[in-house]
Amino acid sequence: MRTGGTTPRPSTRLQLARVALDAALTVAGVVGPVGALESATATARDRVPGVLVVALNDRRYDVSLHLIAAVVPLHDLADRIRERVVRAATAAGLARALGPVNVVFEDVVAGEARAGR
Amino acid sequence: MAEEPRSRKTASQAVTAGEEISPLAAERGATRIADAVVTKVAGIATHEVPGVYALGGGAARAIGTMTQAVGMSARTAQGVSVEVGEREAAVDLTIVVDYGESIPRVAQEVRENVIRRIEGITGLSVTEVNVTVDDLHVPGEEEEAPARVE
Repeated sequence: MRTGGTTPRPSTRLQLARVALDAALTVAGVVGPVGALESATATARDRVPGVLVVALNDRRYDVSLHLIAAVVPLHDLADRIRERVVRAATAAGLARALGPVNVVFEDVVAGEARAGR
Repeated sequence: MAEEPRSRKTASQAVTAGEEISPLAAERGATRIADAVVTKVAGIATHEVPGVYALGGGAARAIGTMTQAVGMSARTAQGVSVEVGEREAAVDLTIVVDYGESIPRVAQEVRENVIRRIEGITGLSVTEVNVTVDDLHVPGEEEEAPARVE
């Protein structure tokens, strides 16, 4: 007798959100995601803070990361984040779903130049 | 179940619409820097200059002391006002200078350091940094209240 239900596979949107955020947090200079509700990707079951993934009309998804950073050159940091996200999405088999990766620095924190995780 | 594409505005859409904060388009997406970031960088850069005792006018400092005590604000934001465009930023600062320091020298160093830090960190070009010296800090003038608990 089968017991319990199957866990539904996460949507591409949610997978992209997780992959993008995890990748961004590994970049030195990224302190963390912002916690605001409007900057999160959420379903009824899950919530990924600091990343907003929105479907485009070409089957790809626009990824916007809303981050808190250390006080470092932010455009270089954004480029490194973008590279890391693209690499992680490719490794996860999500390269074709990945559209533009926007990086929004919402705040900076002095003395927090830690690498992510 | 397939999810409905959402109608919320993304960063790139906001950039296209010319909204808010400084967008800089890159090949694979845009980078935006919030006003709060420019404000904080300006505040930190100001504090780095010897001779600057505090940021903000009297009222701002009093309110800042209270809000910091309850963790609601950073000392780097008070006394700083920024105007941020797509590529440029203008900064207004209100500072308190230590008594005995040369005010023109401190103001000039603040200006140079704020420009260097904002341009280096955010890539924005700083068009002006206006410095208002609101007060002088004289040592002993405002004794810190003794701690009530150890």
